[in-house]
Amino acid sequence: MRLPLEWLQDYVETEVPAAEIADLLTNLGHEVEAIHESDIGPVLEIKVTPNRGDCLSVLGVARELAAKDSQRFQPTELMRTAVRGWTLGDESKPLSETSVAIEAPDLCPRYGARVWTDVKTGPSSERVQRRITAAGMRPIDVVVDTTNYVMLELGQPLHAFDLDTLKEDRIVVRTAKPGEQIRTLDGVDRKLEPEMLMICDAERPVAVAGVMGGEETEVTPQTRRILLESAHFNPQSVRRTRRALNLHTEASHRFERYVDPEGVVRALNRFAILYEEQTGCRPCEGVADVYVRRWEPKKVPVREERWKMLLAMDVPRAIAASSLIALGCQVSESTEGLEATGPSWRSDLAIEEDFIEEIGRLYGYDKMPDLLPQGSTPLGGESALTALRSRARQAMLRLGYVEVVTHTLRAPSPLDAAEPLIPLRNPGSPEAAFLRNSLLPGLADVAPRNYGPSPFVFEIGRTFAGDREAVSLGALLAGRILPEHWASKQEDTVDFSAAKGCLERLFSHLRREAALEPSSDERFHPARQAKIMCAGKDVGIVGQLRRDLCEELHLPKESYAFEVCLSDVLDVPEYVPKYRPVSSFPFVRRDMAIEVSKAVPYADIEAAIQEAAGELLERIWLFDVYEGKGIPEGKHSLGVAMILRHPEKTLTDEEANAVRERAVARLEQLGAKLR
Amino acid sequence: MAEAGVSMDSIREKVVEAEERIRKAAGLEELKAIATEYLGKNGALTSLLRTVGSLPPEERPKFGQAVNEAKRSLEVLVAARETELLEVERRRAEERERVDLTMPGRAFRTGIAHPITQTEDRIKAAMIGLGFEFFEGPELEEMKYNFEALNYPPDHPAMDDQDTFYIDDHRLMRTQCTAIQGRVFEAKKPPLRVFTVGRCFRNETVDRTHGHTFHQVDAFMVDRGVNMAHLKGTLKAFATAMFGEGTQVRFRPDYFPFVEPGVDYSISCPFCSGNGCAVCKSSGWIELGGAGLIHPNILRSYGIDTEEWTGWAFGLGVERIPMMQYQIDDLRLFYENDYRFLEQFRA
Repeated sequence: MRLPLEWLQDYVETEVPAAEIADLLTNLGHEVEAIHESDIGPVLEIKVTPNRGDCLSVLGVARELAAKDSQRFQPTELMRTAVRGWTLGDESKPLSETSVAIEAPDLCPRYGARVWTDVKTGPSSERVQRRITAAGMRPIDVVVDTTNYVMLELGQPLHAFDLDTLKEDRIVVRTAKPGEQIRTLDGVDRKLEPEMLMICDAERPVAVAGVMGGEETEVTPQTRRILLESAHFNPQSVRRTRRALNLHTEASHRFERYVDPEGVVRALNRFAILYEEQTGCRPCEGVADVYVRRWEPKKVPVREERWKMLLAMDVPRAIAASSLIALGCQVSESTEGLEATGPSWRSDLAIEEDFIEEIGRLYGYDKMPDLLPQGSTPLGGESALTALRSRARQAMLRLGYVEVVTHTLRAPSPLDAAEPLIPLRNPGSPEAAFLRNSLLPGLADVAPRNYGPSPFVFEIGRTFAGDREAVSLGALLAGRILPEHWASKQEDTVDFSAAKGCLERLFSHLRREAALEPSSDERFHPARQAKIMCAGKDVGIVGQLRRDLCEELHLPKESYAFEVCLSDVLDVPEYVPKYRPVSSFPFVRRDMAIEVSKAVPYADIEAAIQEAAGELLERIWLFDVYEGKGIPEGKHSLGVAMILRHPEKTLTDEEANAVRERAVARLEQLGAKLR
Repeated sequence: MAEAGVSMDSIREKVVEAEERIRKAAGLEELKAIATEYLGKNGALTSLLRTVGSLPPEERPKFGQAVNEAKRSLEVLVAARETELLEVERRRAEERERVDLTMPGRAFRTGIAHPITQTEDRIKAAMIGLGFEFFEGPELEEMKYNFEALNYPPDHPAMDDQDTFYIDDHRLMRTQCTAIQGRVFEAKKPPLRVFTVGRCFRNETVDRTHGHTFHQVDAFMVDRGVNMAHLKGTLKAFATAMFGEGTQVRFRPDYFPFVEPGVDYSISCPFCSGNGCAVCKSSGWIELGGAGLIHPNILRSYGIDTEEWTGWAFGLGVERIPMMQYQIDDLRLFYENDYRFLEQFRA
C-alpha cells in the first residue's frame, strides 16, 4: 500500500521525517519497502501482512504510530472524529428512496446505503486527485475518486450505483442463481457460480459483492441519482469468488483481509462530507443499514505470568494494559493479569497469544534476551535415509563425480522412466510442467552444456512415479576416465565396466551386496544394460545410453548411466564386516591364460576357480581379455591372476602348482583350456 | 737398481706423488688406474718391496714396514676419493632427472560437491550439534500438511504469498518445509527438536532472485517452558555456526499463520561486522527468515497441552547463504550446474 505522508499528517500531528517513520513502522511489523517522492511529498510503500486488513488505510497506520509513541504522533481532531464516526443528520431514520434485503447473512453480515438525488459529476478536487494519484490510483470522476479516497483513508471499500438503472430501486444481497451472468466494469462478461455472492436489484446481479461493480449500473455523466454501498462481506467468500473469476481489485484485497463491520456507516458519512465539499450535493435523509450478523466483542484472559514467560521480557502489567488500550482494546484487570477485548477492526485478536504478541510488539523485541533452550537433552542426528544418502554422496564424490542439482519440475524427455509422468495442474511454463520420474533427463541436460566430451556427473534427489516419492541417485559418465593430460600416455575411455566399477564401489560403500541381471529398458543399448539387484530386489538400472538418444540429446555417443533407488536400498539391511585374520606368510601368484567360449560367463570361471582353490585363494582378478589372432572364432582368452596364501606357513611352489592344476581341471569341465 | 731407489726417501717420494694424483683423479676409472699403478701387483710401491734384498739385513724389517704403511695410507685415501667420486656421479645422474616445477600436476578426478549440498551439510552439522533430529517429508505433499495443519484458515490471503503448484484438489508441491510439522506431531510426542532441509516449490516468475524451486531449512522444538528468548538464542547459535563468532540476531514483528507471536529475524552482517556493505545494503543487518512461537491452535490440534508445552519454529532459504558468502548474484546459476561455476566452490 502507498501512503502519502501528507495524508498521514491529517491523522497524526508529527514532525518525524519519513525515513524514521518507515523504521518505526517496519519495527511494528509493517515493513516499509520504499519511500517514493511525489508532488505532495514522500509516499511510504508499506507491505501490510495479510492478517492486518485494518492497516490498509491511513487511519490504521496512524493508529499504529500513535499506539507506539503518542508523544511524537499525536492524534488530530480528524482522527478522534474518525474513531468516533461522523454524524450526519438523523441516521436512524429509514431511507425511503431504496430498500436493502440480505438473503445470505453469513456472507454479508452488514449492508449500508445512502442515496443522492440531483447529483453532479465531473472531476474531483485537486487535493483528492493528487492524493489518490500519489497512493497509486487513477482519477476518474468525483464519485469514483471520492469512493477511492474514503477507501484509502478508512479502509472501507465503497461502490456507487446509478440508482435509475436498478430495477425497482432496491438492493438484494444473495448468491447467484444458476445461469446468471454479469458484465463487470472491465467490460468482461462473467459466468456466475451458485456460491458467488452478488449484489442484485429486483431482477439481476448488478455487482460482484466486494470485488467489482457491473457495467450496466455504473455511474456516468448522465447519472441523476446514486446509491452508495458500504458493506461488510465474509472474507473467505470474497476471496473464493474473486479467485474463481480471476479478478483482484483494491476492494477485494481489503475485504479478503477483513474490513471493520462497525465502520460501515462511518464511511458513508465520510463520503457524504467529502462529496458535498466538492460538489455541494447533500445526501437524502436517512441510511439503509441492514446489520444481520452483529460483531460480538469477546473477552480474553491475558495472564501476566504467561506473557512474561512467552516473551521472556518483564513487561509490567500497567504497560501491557496501556499498549492494548492504545490499540483500541477494552482492557480490565483481573487477578491473573488482564482481560482484553479486541476492537471490531482486529479480527486477528482472538486468543491470549494474539494479545501477548501485541504487548511484545509495542514493548519492542530489542529488549528480549537470547538464551539456549534447557530442559530435555534430546539426541539429535540424521535419519536412516539421510545417512544413507550422505554415504552414497561421499562415495560418488570420491569416485570423482561432479554433483549437480537439477529441477524436479521439467518437460518430458526421452530419458524419462517408463512410468507416466505426474503433471502439475497449473504449470508456470512448459519447461516445468511435470514431476521427474528419473534423474537421467536432468543429468542429460547439464552434461553436454557444461562438461565437454567427458562428463562425470551425479545427482541425489527425489523422483516421482504413481503414489511413490523416492530418493534416487543418478549418474552419467562418458569420454575419458581421466581428463586429458600431458603425463597420461594412454587414453582410457568409459565403457560398461567403468559404470559397473562405480556401482561396485558405491555398493561396497553402502555395505550392500549388488548383482546385475539382464534387463530390457528402452533407454539403454539392448545388449549393454542390466538391472541392479540388491537382496533379490530390483533397485536400479545401469547401461550404455542408446546412441540415437545420445545424438538427440547432444550427449557423447558412448554415454553410460546408472540410477539407483536409495529408498529401496535402505530396506536392505547393511552387512557388518567380520574380521578375518591377516596372514603374515608370503603369498604366491599364479597366472592362467584360459581359452574359453564367449558364451561362458566370467562369473562361472571365477566360481570354478574359487571352488577348486579353496581357502588358499586370497584374491582373484581378471587382468586381460583377448580375442582375435590365434583364438578360434567364438572364443576368447582370459588372463586370470590368483594370489594364494596359507594362514600359518609359507606356501611351497609345489602346493601352489597343485592349486593351479585343480583349478585347470575344474575349468576343463566348463569347456575351457589353458593356452 | 740404484742405491737411492731403495732408500726410505724413495718411499716418501712415491707416496707424495701418489697422494697428489689420487686427490686429482677426476673419475672412478682414473682412480682405479692410479690405484693399480701404485698398489697393484706390479705397482710402484709393491715393486719397492721386491728390492728389499739389496738392503743391509738390519734395515730390511724397517723398510718393509714403511712400504706397507705407505700402501695402507694410500688405500685409505683411494677409498675416500672413491666415495667422493661416487657421490659426484650420483648427483650428476639425479640432476639429469630434474623436473619442471611449473608443469601442471596430473589431472585426477576428485569430485566436486554442489554449493547447495555443501551448505546443507553445514546446516545439518550445526543443527545436529544443537540436539536437533533430521526429519524428511515429501516434496509432493498433501494440501492439509502444507496449509490446514499449519493453521491457515480456508481461503486465507496468507496463501497468496505462496503461489502454489497443484497436482490435484488434495495434493500440491510443498511451498514450505514447515509442512513437516504436522507429520512430526503425528509421529512423535514432545519434548522434541526437529529440523529438515529440502526443496520447496512456488509458481513464481523466474528471475535473478526467484525460482520456481528453492531449498529451505525448517526447524522447530517443543518442550516445557520454551519461549521467544530460546528461539533467539538458538538462532544466534545457529547463525554463529554458519557465519562466525559475534553474530547477533534481531527480531521484528511479522505474520505467518503457524506462529504467534510471529517475527522475521535478521542477523548482524557478518561481512562488514555491521558497518555497512553491499551484502547488507549498508544497513548492517541481513534478513534471513521467519520465526515465532508455534501457534497454540496447531499444538492443540495434535492433542498437545499448551499449558504444559510450548514451542518455536524458524525457517530460512538455503540458497541465500552461499549467495551471500560467495557474492553470487543470480539464483539460476545453482540449477544450471555449469562446471566453471561449480568448480569455484570446491571444498
